[in-house]
Amino acid sequence: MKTEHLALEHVTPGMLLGGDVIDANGAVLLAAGSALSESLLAALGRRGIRQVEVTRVEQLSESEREARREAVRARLAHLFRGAGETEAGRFLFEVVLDYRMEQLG
Amino acid sequence: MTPLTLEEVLADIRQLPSLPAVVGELIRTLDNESAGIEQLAEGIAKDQSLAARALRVANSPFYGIQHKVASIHDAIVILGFRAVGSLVMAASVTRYFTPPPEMAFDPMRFWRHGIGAALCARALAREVGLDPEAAFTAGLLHDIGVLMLLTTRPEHYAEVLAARRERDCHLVVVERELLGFDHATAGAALADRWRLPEEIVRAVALHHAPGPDRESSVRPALDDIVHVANILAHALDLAEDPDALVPSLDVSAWRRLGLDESTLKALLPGIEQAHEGYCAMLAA
Repeated sequence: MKTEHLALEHVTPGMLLGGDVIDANGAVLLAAGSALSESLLAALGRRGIRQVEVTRVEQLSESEREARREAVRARLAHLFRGAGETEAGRFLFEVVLDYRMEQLG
Repeated sequence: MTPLTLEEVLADIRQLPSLPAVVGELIRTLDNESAGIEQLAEGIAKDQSLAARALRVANSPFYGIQHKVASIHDAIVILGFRAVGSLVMAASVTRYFTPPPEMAFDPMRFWRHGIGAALCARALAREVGLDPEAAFTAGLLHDIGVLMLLTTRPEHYAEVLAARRERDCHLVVVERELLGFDHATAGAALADRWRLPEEIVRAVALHHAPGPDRESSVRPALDDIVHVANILAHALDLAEDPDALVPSLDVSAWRRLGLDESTLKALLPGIEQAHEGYCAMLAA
């Protein structure tokens, strides 16, 4: 996956780390692949980290995006395979699906 | 194999050694965090591996603490009482119930789900105005019957798990068929023996069939919360179990919670984020 270096203030919550964040002593503060939350970003700022490598999600082609959405939908459908066909169960499925789709952007 | 009866399981429970003191303290200090911190710190200090783990996590870079955290008390303040409490609960209970190695039990997955259900239960309880800390504990321990049966009756339970895998159906269905009772009933008997508050015992007992006597009631109770929390934790895939199966949602329990789409959706990011933090500690 393609990555880019971004100044910390340009990183938004939800972005994924494209490479390990390393402190001055060479210790890994945060491993590649971690999802950056608001609190993690604040913690990195406090540790004096100014720039991080993030994965360029926006570089995904439309077909790659669709493939990812499909994988998420399929996993959720698999999880709900025994949940029965009640209206409440359907509602819960839709809420979680919606949430996952928003996460994918 | 001779069939197992609930009476035999109840007899097993009566013969279990008493609960580690630190777990008993945790349960008793549920709703009294300030008294709880001292007792929790004392309990952890007696356990070298737990103490080392709590300090290691508190000293990890993410808490942004400039000086070295050397005392358990400070570690609890930094990491949060509830987070350290669940770490201690998980570690102590796992040590208390150690399934035989041939059961291929994955404690990490078990507690990832328990912590997930605990966090979901706490968020739901806050939303509907029930005690969030009791909800957290009930969520954390809702499947304790599974862990007990895995450990005390491994031969019978191996059959249950094999049948569940084979038929890809709900655990309680196979349990009721092969054993004549389920992990919710067994877990509640254990929770009762451990002197957990009655509403928690009830929530453990009813997490697959909430509110049997409240069909027409409009007010939610802890069993409704834990029922929905268990389902939500599975739906969010928090245990990362490839075979996970979302149980069917009890329509009355769901109605009693009265959550609309935007309220529910707004809870999810916080649950997932807290889950990551709690589980990082579990793995440390």
